[in-house]
Amino acid sequence: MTKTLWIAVVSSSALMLFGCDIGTSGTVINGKGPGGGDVTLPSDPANPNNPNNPTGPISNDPTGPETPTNPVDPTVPARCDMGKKYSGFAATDLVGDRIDADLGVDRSRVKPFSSLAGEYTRVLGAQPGLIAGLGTTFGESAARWNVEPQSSAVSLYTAYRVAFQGCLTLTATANAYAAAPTDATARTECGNFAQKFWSRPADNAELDACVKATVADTATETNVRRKWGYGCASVLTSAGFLSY
Amino acid sequence: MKNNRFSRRSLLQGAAVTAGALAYNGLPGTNLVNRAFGQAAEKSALLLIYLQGGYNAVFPSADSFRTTGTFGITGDNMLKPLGGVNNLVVDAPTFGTLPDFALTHMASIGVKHGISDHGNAQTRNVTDGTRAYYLRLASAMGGEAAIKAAVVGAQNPAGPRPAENGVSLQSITDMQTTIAALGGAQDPTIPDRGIAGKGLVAAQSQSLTRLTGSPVSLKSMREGYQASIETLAKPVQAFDFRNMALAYNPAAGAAPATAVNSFTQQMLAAELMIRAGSNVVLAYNGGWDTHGDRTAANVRNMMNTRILPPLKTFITRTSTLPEFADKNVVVAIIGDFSRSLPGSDHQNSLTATVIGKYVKTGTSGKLRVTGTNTTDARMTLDPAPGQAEFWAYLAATLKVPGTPFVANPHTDLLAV
Repeated sequence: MTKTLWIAVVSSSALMLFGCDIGTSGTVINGKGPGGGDVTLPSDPANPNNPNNPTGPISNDPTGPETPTNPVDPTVPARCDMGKKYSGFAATDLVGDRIDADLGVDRSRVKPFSSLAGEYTRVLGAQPGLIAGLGTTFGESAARWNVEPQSSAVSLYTAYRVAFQGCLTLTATANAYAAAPTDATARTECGNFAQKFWSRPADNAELDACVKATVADTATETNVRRKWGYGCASVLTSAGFLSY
Repeated sequence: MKNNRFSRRSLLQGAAVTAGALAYNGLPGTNLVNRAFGQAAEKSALLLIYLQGGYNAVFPSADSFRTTGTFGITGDNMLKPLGGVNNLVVDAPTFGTLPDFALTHMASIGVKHGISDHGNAQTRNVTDGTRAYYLRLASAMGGEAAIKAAVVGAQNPAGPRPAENGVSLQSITDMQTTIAALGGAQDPTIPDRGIAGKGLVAAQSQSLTRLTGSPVSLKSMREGYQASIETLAKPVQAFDFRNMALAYNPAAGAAPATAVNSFTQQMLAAELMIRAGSNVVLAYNGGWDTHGDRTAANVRNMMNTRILPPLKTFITRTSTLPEFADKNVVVAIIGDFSRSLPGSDHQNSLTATVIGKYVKTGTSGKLRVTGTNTTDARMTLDPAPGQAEFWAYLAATLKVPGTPFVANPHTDLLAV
């Protein structure tokens, strides 16, 4: 227990002394860098590593960094920059433009074509025939190569076409789509579409958009099941399905 | 020859019904009639060809290498003098074979950017570090097209590219699906265009939370929704794709390929997008980091086999076909930088090529080569303007009103 307590004390002390800058290239020990040279601590008072920042982990506040009088915003917690730094020729900072983003931001990515065909099959129960041969439209990578998938006007419109084709099959026979959609029935089915395609329930704004796409926007469509197909396609062409 | 029979707007507004009957009919084959008609004002468009890795100055400034015999300029037969301001001389075996329109409307523009690494060069040649020159240009050019800036092929430009006044860069990687988006396809699986447009609005609304939460990683999706909605709101456009494809590849057959996966296909796609109204089209081609190519044999071969054949077709068509008579199509060729002497490594400057109706023949990018032979030769571009000034010159050749960048310093290379 004594050993455990000693480790805890040392760890806490290290955190207080080092701050958060304990990446492999940025270790600061008693104000000395890895090579023994002096290191200038951040002067920005908002920087959590600034010893004069009353809300930072290194704080001169005798009551400690996290007290009722110095609450840390839980939605934007202080964090450590753990990224390794790289220097290039002429001491160029090669990662100087690295963006230190907030937690939870930019977590979504466009689904690659390699998975898209299977995804349509998973949610629709059958693969829309149109998806075959659309690799170049969706920027499919060459074999043994990878390029971050991107969307475009053409790929999104094409995705809508694929979704519409698949939705026509989905709504072809079921009784739920035999009658013209109303606001109420559309809201129910839009909720079902969202759960099926996005694996989560839709919120009210999302339901409103789907209902409009199914009812009001299909006023010129005379085929009842195609009305449902249009509403279904709007859900299947949203980021909830096309990204992950 | 100008076509003054109809205004384009009135024709397209009335053509929505008949366009369906004349639409691209999916593969195989098409039987469309092109419907580009004259406009009150001349429509300009830029095709920017970016040779990734470098753009050897032997092409736009061949005479610079004559004295030292470098880059294969071993005799006067390798030179094609075009005259004009500062006597433009291009490489005879390659650029010397371009169509007459190009040879009488070409300028070499010096860009002293001071960059000799690929990454920075590729970024700073097309952006100022924060904004993309090509989007600023496409926005300034205005027009009615939904896709004002397009990149044909899988390679996107380097650097940031925030939308400019709603103008974003859209990728064109397949011409069949592009034509369908533009309204030129007749297929029972294609949903009603008006309802589909509203459907995409609904999809966009249903995507709001996720798009907001991923402003960078889903930037292309956010911009793609907007551009697709705008595209579907535009009148239907029809294209005689089969005949266009045959012009670039006579062996294309009844069902021409539509994937934009070669430079030839990039030029075909560029013509398609310019016909569709795009202001700026980018076409990237790789493999031009030609270290050790001391005689420029490698780059000449690539230029002659890969670039020039479809480029000649593009220039010939856009400078002679009646449907382009009311259009001002400018072609610019750039790369990361010129290739240095003697080893064809990285020079810290660039000499670009610009071809267009309002380009005055001449050069501001002639290199000064010192030395006596292929071993001790060195090249320098005397003080010249940088990238912003180059884009200002492009804007001037495109007759863009105002000064979207900086003042154009190459006024002597501009035909009134």
